[in-house]
Amino acid sequence: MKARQALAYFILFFLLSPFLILIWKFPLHPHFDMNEFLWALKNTFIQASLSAAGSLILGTWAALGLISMSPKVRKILEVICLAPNFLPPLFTLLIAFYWVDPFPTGVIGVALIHSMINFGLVGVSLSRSIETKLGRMADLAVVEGSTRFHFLKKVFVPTLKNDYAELFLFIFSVCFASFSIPLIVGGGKGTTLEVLVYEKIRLSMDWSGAVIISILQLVILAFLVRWFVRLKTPVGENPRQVRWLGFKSGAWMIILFAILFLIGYLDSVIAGAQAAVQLLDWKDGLLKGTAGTLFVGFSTGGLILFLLMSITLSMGFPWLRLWLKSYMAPSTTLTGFAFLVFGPNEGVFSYFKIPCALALLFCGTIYRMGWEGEVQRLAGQMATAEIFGATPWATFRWVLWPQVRVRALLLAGLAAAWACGDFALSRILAYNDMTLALMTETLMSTYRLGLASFLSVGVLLSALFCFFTFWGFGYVDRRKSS
Amino acid sequence: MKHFFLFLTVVFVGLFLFNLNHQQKFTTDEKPILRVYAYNSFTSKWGPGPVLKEMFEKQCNCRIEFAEGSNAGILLQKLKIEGEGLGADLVIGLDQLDLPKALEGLKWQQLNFGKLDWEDQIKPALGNNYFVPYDWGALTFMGQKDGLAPHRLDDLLDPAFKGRILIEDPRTSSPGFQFLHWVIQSKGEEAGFQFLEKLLPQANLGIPSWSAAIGLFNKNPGQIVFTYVTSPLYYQLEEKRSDRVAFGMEEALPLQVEFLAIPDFCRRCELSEKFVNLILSPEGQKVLMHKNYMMPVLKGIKDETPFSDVLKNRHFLNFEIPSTADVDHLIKKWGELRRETGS
Repeated sequence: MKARQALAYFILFFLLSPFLILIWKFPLHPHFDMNEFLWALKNTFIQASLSAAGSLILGTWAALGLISMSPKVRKILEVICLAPNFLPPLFTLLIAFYWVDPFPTGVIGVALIHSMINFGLVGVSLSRSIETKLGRMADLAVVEGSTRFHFLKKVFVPTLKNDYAELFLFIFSVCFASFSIPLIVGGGKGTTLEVLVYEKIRLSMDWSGAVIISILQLVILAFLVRWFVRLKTPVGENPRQVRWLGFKSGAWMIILFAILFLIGYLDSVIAGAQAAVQLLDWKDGLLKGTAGTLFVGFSTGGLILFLLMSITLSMGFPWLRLWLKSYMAPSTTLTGFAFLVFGPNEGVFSYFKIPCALALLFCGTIYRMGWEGEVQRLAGQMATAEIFGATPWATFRWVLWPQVRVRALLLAGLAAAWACGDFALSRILAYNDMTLALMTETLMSTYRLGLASFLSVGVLLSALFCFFTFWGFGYVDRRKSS
Repeated sequence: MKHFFLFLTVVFVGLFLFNLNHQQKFTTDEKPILRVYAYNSFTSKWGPGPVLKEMFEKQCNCRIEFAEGSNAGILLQKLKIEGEGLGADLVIGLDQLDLPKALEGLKWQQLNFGKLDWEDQIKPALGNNYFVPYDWGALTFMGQKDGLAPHRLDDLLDPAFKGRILIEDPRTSSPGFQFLHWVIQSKGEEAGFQFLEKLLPQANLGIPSWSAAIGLFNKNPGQIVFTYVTSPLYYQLEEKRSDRVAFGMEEALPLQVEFLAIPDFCRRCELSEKFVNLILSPEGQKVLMHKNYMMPVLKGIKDETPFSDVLKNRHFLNFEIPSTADVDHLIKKWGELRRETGS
């Protein structure tokens, strides 16, 4: 029990560390503009709610499209759906600006971009829920001669309403903490809490104000989750195909989205490819950047894997489960500076600090992306193993790991891919362009947008390499064991 | 599964050793290190930093190590947090808006470079003892040669420009604040904010950085973007296209001057001064002009280059360093305006 307790406190301390470091380094002072905070909070609520609603509406359509397809086509469509989550948000933004001109700034613009990025994730997740939770009833409905519309109204909505609530909360919390998109397309109404934190640091160097806003943000989300946590989501069964329920138009929507996305992206990449010969003089830097990107990606993925396993082993403590469900990482800027003020920075230290800080930033989102369900599923088995006197290591080795490795490696791969695309946090902690994402950002700040787009292909390939390495090992291992 | 962990360990150690080796390649020699804090477009391969570094390392028997920040604000924060501990010897890339903040909580060495033949526009920027100007630029709108062209600020309110104006956010970008300051200086505070209120529904005034604004402009050149008068030169010289033009305006154009300074806690102070001398030499100024696409601070450098015509027939606002209180006041008022209008 002691080892698990220590692990639980370690997780708590690690996730709170940016706040603790900054409060220790920059004591809080009582001058705080509450009106400004409430205004930004209102904006954040509106944009996050609209973003979540938009993602759910489009995601439902996508999910109905996905289930209408054969497994092979569906796999391809799922990759397309998840693609925007791999790319740095700035590229999604530029693609949106390419097609929507003039692009609406403000809350509508922010919600539009967030919906573009997240609808696919919602679609994939919902399509799984439909197949695992509605499969049997759908078979029965077909036999009984129910119409699709009747089934959607009488069974689909009532059965999946808690899944919708959980997905809404997930997207809401992701968008609640979104930074770069509200910063670029937010405008006046779009000044969110994250943007306000950035302004406090960038403009007035008001660390105290920035930390207070971040803490309040965390508390507000915790209250919200506390309310949502009462909902009980039914556990699914083995998936069954429910193709008759699907809408082919949803699949066409995904294909159209992919075409628009690709054209918008490739347009810049092709423009950059014409000047790519300039990159040949930069071979040494590119090699170093690629190695740095892979290092950051693999380290972050490895750390996330470690955190997920630690979380699962410490799940005997309900306070930790509740805490993790409501946890929201502090802003990127705050986290970056917290790691900067803590300990030495010269030499190789930034190579260790960046993955640690990224793992901290991604942990909450990754946990809510399906790890919580795994933990719930295994809670009973872990309690039984403990009653029978199994050590934490034995529980991990023989009970936990064989059941969770595929999902754990998938999520670690996703975190690794995200880490490859990060430049906001890395820019604070790194001393030079040590990753491809940082090089891309530098190119953009020297007029060379085409070359930046071209180099972003390298970021994307590194991200895919990291993702498929993690995912592939899980897949191969499962095939070997079965 | 043990293969996976073995693989992960090998990759992790391999990449770490590669990166370590890459760093140690430069640190095994005994030469003193001059640590220079600068923004990333200065230190990047296409920026002036690497060329100046190479020139200096040939003559100083030392090594320059750059520490980057994404912008001057972040750079100053990094400097305050770790500069003394790490040994920051020189800071490059502060503009006039950063100077009051740079004086809060940091001490700087006194510098005197008054005997150089400075450009006239730069002379008012020499009034302080700590910060030395090394390049400068004027800002205006850039667009297509045969496209929409504003000739005065009021033209921006023309419905033809609706949705076609890209301006950086004054809260997060120095050119953005320059725009805000320009409007206030040209029209006065009350009339200036009235003008901005009318401009808000017309223009995208929330772009967080200059690079994002240029990125948006490149995606859709039918728009106009607030940038440096030298920006069209980049397209002309690097991309061989002459369809972009920096518009002349009736109002005097705002100036941005970039400064360097030596922190009081520098460890290689003498080397820092020598590097500053190089930057302020004709060779150093030429590098800055061609790589940074900014104007040299010394007379005679830009003569007989494409840069010599850029400033012809343009007039500029007098250089001034706004106080922190002035900056905070304008930003606060700007924030209130945006909240009220909700745009």
